[in-house]
Amino acid sequence: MIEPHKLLGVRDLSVRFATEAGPVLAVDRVSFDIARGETLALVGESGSGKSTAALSLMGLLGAAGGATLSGRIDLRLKNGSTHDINRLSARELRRVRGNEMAMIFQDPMSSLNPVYTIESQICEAIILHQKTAWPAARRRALELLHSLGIPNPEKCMTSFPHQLSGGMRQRVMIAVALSCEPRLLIADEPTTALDVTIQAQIIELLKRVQSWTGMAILFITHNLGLVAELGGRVIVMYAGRVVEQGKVAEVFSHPCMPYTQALLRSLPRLRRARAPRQRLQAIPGNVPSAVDRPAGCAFHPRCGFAAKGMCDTRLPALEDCGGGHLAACLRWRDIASGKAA
Amino acid sequence: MRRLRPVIGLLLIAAFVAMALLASVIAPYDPFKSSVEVIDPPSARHLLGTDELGRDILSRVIYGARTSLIIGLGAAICAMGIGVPVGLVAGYFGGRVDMLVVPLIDLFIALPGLVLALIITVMVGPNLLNLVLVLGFVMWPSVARLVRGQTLALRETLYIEAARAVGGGSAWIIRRHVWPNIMRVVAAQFAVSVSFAIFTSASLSFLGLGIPPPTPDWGGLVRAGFDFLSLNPLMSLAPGATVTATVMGFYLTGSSVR
Amino acid sequence: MNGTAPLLEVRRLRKWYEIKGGVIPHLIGHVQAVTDVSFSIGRGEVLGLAGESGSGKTTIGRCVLRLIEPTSGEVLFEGEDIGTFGPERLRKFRRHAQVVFQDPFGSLDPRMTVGEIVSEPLEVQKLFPNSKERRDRVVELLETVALSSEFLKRRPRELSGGQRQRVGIARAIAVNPMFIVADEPVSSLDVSIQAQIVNLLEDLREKLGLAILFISHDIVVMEHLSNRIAVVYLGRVMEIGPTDELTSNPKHPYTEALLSAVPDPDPALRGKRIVLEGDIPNPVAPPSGCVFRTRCPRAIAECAAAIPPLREISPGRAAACIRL
Repeated sequence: MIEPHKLLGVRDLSVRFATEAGPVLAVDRVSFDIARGETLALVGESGSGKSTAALSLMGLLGAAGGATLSGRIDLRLKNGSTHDINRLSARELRRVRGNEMAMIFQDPMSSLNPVYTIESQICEAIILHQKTAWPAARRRALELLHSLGIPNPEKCMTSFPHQLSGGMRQRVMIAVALSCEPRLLIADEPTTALDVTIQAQIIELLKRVQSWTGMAILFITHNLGLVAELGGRVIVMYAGRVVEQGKVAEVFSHPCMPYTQALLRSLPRLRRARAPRQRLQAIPGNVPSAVDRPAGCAFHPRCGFAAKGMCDTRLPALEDCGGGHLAACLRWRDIASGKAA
Repeated sequence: MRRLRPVIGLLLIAAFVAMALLASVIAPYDPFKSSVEVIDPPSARHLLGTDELGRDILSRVIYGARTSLIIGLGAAICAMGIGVPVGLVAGYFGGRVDMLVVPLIDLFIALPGLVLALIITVMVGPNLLNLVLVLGFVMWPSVARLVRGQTLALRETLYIEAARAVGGGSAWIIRRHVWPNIMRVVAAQFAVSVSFAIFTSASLSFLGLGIPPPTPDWGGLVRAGFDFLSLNPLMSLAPGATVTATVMGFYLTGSSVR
Repeated sequence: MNGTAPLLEVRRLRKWYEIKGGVIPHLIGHVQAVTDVSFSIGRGEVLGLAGESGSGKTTIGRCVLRLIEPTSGEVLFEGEDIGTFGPERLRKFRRHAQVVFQDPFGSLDPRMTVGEIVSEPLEVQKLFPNSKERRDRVVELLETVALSSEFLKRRPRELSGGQRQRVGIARAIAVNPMFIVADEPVSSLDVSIQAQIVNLLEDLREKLGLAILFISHDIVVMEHLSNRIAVVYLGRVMEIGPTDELTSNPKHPYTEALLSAVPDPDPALRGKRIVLEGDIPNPVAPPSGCVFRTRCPRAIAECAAAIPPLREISPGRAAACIRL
């Protein structure tokens, strides 16, 4: 089903929610792969569906949450077999989570239990998945905390979550996630709640961890700068769909989809007095709400290149605009050749 | 069931208010007029029978709604009249006023309302006005506590800070931002207070400390029927049921607002 | 009131919150939110106040508007100490100094319509007593922030984040202020919306001659908007100076680290990254001497001895570091 070097293959993943305002298509036929040891960034604004997509990879979106999933999510396990996450039983899912893939969130406080010490939370995760005894689990936990740059691991182990700073809590979450040596780490906005200097620490840490463990990272963020920092490949999402994907350097230097282009242009960049101050090129309009999405290309009402009778009626498919760089725009050729007004 | 609660509550309240307002129209007899038919069992002439003075029980129960309405509304208005301003001031300004008010509220709330009402009624003597005042006095602390808590939470919101930043004084902020935001909760508390007042006044009457006869009131009717329970159980049960239904009506309505 | 005096001058501002504890509550310490901060803002000038969480930047913004009372120090507005203002004088002051909050969700009363929210300052300040004129002014204000009069009757929950922030800005400029504190006005917005709001603030500054105290953790947006930047850490000013000088040639090690930590879509542009070790210390017990020394890559033993004063290094440029 998926090529041998691939760890994860997502095919036509759609997620629907039943809300009071009617059905919402949060994720609309999204497909992508993650290779072993690869870094893939999923970037988008609020309502782009990036977090929903991530949660469904973990099998965390079920009928209980009012979500309906379709499509395939094939994961290659450590034993070499492949399984569709959407078709696993709750029991099998629990085994996959942690052992095969792990997730860290924006707010580590909400995923740590406030009444248990860090020691019991990390050790519990280890014992649950690896069937070791407490002393061995404890040794492993200390080792992990130490390797994640926590200054005083012994003291950290006896602390409660609220006694730690935001950066420390995120490190602990990373330790919990790494405890069973997953091959895929899903990081959902892990640095958004942190200060920039702490964010820099966590990013460095994730890169270092990846270099020792060889795990793949799926990094979900709204911050384009961070995507560049991480390298690897990027998927840009807008209104539930993938609108552009490719190597980060390629996508950022030659974006094909007008949304990516506009987003990159609208970002204030540090000039350090090298260039004169220029007015930011803002994207007009608002991010469309999931309940009320424009017909055709969802970006067309905000797009400078939108053509009447074309972009507002036809849904663009992803097209290869060179070397595996995909973009979903009906006019990308015109835009690239400068013919589009 | 969640959605049904306020509907049932409002229907019961509507029935109660209609009964009170239209008592003279719906009641088949004058509730004060005696007759020779003493302690008659239910019959076609007297649907619920008559009491020891030959008065029609159904008519007395219907007129009893008036007394309950006056007591319930009057006492709740009194409680709001004291509780709302005290709660607003204590919650919004905090400081010394708050330090004085909070222990007072706690003290009142620690005492059971019925016992407190009982003691005060014994001291001032039972009549309609006293009963309204006593019940209002017993209930204001819970209103004040609620309003204070809500105000305290609102005081910390950013939009109140924004109102201060544009130069709004305390009176302005309370009127324009605090009050509209707590009104719903206060209205709910009002309904709960009405139910408490009706229930407590009925209890006091039952204990012989309510509205003096011959004015019909439900607590008194229940008590009067008690002596004839074996002859005509409806004499007690009918006013008892109306008390229960009315109290429930106000309570369901009040408690369904969050 | 002479023309050359700054519009706003902050002198040795300090805000320490008392912590009480124990069985019999007594003072057991202070949260040292802001300690001896001084700066000034000229007419029509934008001063950026850059800092991370716990830097006291929001507290400074609130003290400057007297939304909270400082522990000590002075805030002079047009040469007058706002700490001495009585209620009536304070209300008049608020006609000249306004605020835009970070959270456009929390700062708008959910029960009011957009029209009511924007007209509130006018009513409080009794500026347009005629209700027809007031309505016209509200419509004009909404147009200024690029919202049509259709929005008058809408409520905050019906608006997007960017639209709410526009309403917040319309409310702030309603009284035609000279000075605005903008407390993280774009950080809670979507990336594609941030530029709209930054541009709007820029336009307003030009059109209305506004002076702005721009508070943010995002030094990039700040560089774009500010004439000068003050970098704060644990409630103290580390460095202050004209924007271009400070960002192209940071003097204080903290400024340098802060600038280097900013991720850029083009990593080649970022330059060498300095990753600071450790966490921001607890403001209840800040380090002795220089508060930054525990994370500073250039710290030496002397840094712990005394609090380094903010020393001028070139005209208009100052830094608090003994190792310069």
